[in-house]
Order: sequence, then C-alpha cells, then structure tokens
Amino acid sequence: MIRLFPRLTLSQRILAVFCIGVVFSVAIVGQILVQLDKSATLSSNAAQIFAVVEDANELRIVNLRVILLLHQYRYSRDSTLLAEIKTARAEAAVHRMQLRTHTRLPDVVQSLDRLEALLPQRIAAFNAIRSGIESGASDREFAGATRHLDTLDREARAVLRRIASLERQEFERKLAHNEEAREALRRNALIGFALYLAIMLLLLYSMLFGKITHRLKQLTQMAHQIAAGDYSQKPFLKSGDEIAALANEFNRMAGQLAEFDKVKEEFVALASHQLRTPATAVKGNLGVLLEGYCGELTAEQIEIIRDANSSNERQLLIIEDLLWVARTDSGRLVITKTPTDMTRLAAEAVAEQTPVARQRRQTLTLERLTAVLMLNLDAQKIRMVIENLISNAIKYTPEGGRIHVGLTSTDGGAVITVSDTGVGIAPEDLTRLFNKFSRISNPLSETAGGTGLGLYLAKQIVKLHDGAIAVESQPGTGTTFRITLPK
Amino acid sequence: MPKILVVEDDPSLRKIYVTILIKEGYEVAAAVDGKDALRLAGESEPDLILLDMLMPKMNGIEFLRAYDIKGKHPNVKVIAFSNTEKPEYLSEAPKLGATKYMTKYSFTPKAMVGLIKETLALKS
Repeated sequence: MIRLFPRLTLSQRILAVFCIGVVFSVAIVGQILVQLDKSATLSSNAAQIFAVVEDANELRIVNLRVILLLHQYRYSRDSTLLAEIKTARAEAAVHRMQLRTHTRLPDVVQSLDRLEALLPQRIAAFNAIRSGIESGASDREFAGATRHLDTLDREARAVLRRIASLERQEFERKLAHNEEAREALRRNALIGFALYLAIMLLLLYSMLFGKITHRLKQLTQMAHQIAAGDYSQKPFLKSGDEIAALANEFNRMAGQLAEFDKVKEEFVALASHQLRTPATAVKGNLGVLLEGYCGELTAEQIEIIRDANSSNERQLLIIEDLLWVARTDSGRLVITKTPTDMTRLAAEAVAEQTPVARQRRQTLTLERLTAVLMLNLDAQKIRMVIENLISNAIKYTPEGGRIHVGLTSTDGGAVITVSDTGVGIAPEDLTRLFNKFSRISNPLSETAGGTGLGLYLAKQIVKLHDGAIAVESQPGTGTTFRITLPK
Repeated sequence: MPKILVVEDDPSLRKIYVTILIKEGYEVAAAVDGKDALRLAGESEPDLILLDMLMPKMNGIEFLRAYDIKGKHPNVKVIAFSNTEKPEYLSEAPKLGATKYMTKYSFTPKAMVGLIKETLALKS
C-alpha cells in the first residue's frame, strides 16, 4: 500500500485527513444539494406539463359545452342561451390562448391555428342559424347552415381530440423521462457517496493506518531484536514523527541495555575469575598433597583431603554453572553446529558416566544404532546435556537400579531418551523441573546436590538447536527424559 | 633441565606452581606480572613460559605482543592459562605464539605437569 507524504508527523497527518475530510464532505453535500435541486426542477416541469394537458382538456370541454348550447338554442329557440354561448366562447378563447402559451409542441400550435381558422366559418354558420331562428323561419329553411355548422363542429372536435391526445402523449413521454432522470440522480448520489467513502477510507489508510501499522511493525521488530539481545542502534527512524520519537527512546533504552549488559558481562568475568582463583589454589594445594609431592600420607589424611577436594570441586562446578547461566541470560550462549555422529556422541557420554554408575552398582546401557546417524549440532554442548541427564538418573536411582540411554533415528532427526528405574518425580515438581534454580529433593541423598541449573541449561541448549526436551515420570517407578533434535 | 618461567599474579597459585615444578626437577623462575616477566625473560630465555592472562600492569596478551615469540623467540613454548574463558584470550593467544591454552581450575598438579611435558616435547 502506498504511503502518502512520508515526512509528515502523525498529528499533521490527522489534521490533514480531517481537513481533506471536511473539504470532501462539503463537496459531497453541495453535490447532493445540486441533485436535489435538479429533482425539484423535474417536479415543477412535470406540474407544468400536466397544466398543459389540463388546458387541452378544459378547451375540449368548453368547446363541447358551446356545441351543446348551440344545439339547445337550435331546438328551444330560447334567446337567453345566447349570452351563455357568448360567455362559453370567451372562455374557450382564454383556454386556447393559455394552451398556445404553454404548449411546446409545434403540432399543437398548428392544430390551434386550424381551430382558429375554423372559428369565423363556425361563427358565420351559427349567425345564419341565429338569424333564421330570429326571423321565425322553419328548421328546414336553414337546414344547410345547420349541416355546415355540424360539419365544422365535427372537424373542430377532431382537432381538439388530436390536441388532447398530443398533449397526453407528450405528458407521458415527459413523465417517463422524469422517472429515468430521477433514477439517474439517485444512482449518481449513491455512486458519489460510495466513491466518497472509498476515497476517505483509502486516504485514512494511506495517511494514518498504513503509516501507523508500518511503524508499529518496525517498532515490534526493534523490540523483538532488543529482547533477543541485539542492542545495536537502529538508524531507520529519522522521519521525526511521534512513533519515530518512541522508537528513538527505544534506541536509547537499547543503548543503555547494551551498556548494562557490558557491565554485567565484565562483572561476571571478573567475579568468575575472583571466585575461581581461590578455589583453584585450594585445588592445587590439595592436589600437591594428594599426588604425593609432600611425601606419603596416612589413609585417614588422604580421606580428609579427598573430602575437602570434592567439596572444592563442587564449588568449582557451581561457579561453572553460574557462568553458563550468565552466558545464557545475556544471549551469549552460542552454539557452533558441525556434522556429528550421534551414535558416537551418545556412546562417549555413556562411557564417561559408566564408572559413576558402576560405583553405585547400577546398570547403564546404551541402545546402539547400527547405522551412523549424522546430525548438525554443537557436539560439546549436546554431550554435556546427555551427560547431565545420565548423571541425574544415577543420582536419583537406588543402588542396583537400571539406566538406559536410547537413540532412535526419525525422519526429522533423532530422539534420545534417558530412562531410569529411580525414585521418579512428583507431578507438582514436573512443571518447575526446567526452571532456573529448581532443585528436587532426593530421598536417596541427604545432601542437596547440584545448583538446580543443569536441566535449565539443558533446555536452553536444546532450544538453541530448535529441538525439544520433555519428561515423563511415575513416582516410585522411574523417569524418562526425551530429547528431540532436528537434522 | 628445561627452564620454566611462571608468570602469575596470584601469590598462592604462583607458590603452588613453583613448588610443583621445582619438585619435578625443573629450573624455575617466577614473575608477578607481564612487565616482570619481560624483564626476567630478557635476562635469560626460558624453554617454556606458563603465562597467566589476566594480570595487572601488563596482561598476558600484552606480554606476548611485547616479547614477540614468533619473531624473536621462536623456540620458546608458551602455555597460556587463565581462570576465565574470555573469547578474545582464546582466539588471540594462539595467534601471538601461545602453544596451548589451559583453564587453571580444571587441572590437577599432575595433569598440569603432564601438559608441560607434552608441550616441551613438541618440536618448534
């Protein structure tokens, strides 16, 4: 979708859309008024045409009345009717004139001319009849004049019929035309309104929503990158609108986060060094004693020094785990994938842990695949994960128990399982198992071993490989961890 | 016997390394930082330098640059060691002529002596 005027700020855009909206609305209202006016004109035209039809009809009626009065006079010879005939004629003259003024049809004008041309002859014929009547002559004596008048009247009636018919046809034609025109007006108004709506929506989208959604997408992406630990400054939001201002704040925040992150990294590096150095010195000194650099030791001395050494080793492991977590949390836990033979990797991990299992008289078995199963992964880290699972299984399985490592090749990659016949995990502990610092009490050991970080790290490492780790457990029966890794 | 220069700022660690190496029969000199090491190595070229990375005054990387193993002392072996796994140390030290890199906390005295013997046996 096009975005109009990319340099405008949001409030300028809202104002622009508002102004354009007002202008458009005024234009559309004006247009509707014009159409209404046209419709009114059509109505008044219709009234006018109808008046012409009425004129034509009136003229016909008056003419008939005149003819009727003439007949009445002829038979009754009542001279009082003469005045009425005169008035009716005058009335007919008025209607003729009106019709002549109002009509637009040349045919009607022609017919009126014909009618008026007949008039002197009709008056002459009537006058002949009238003078016959007034002189007391019999009907037969002015029968010629009577026939002549009848003929003239018939023609006049025919002309009037023609006028009325012409005007009615014209009226019907106009009426149909008016209807069409009204329909067109309605259609135009509807199309206009639809067009208006479409343009307004398009404008609204182009100038406001398009821009806003586009900007919000950019912001979301920025936030996503920051959340993922990418604190680099994003240069794209220079347009100076409100969202750009917000994004620039984001940038500033990202900058600060980057600084905090750097400080944290330096702190972790320093702290790890500071913590490790004394522990390393203890390890060195105990090693000097244990490895006989200071002469033979008694069995009791050796046992005490071994205890001290194992406590020290645990401390070093805790420091190690904390460093891993610090790396993971700051997004610095990176994996380097290389093609690795999974069968061999699993065998190595099992071999590493076999002496520990043997000490506890446990059976540690590996289900070997006959074929080579190559996966693209960080061998060192995945081996650490598998060893961690085996080591946990050993710790939480009673002496004499069984631990089995399974390896299955699947279409998408591999599934590695570590099952034990251990104490199992209570359902309420299962949910927090992969959380940081979550330690599950071990009924087999009085000392709480570990930092509660092993499974958290395992999950993070598997996640970095786009894999998944899951657990099933039956308290008192055993536990199975299942790692799914893609190719 | 081969001459070993131990460069370590932490006194207790320095003492341990010196004690073990003397007991193993090496000729041992000890420096407290990179500057000190530069002076001692200048006086008499050692066969092997056990070089700490994180030190005040002059750190391990700066020492390697100043001493110029590759250019001026190609026969000197260097085991760079530290208690941090700073990526820049891991990548930079071998480039500047360090033969091996070890993390102090993961080595027992015997293991360290093993690594030193192995390194000394390497041909230049």
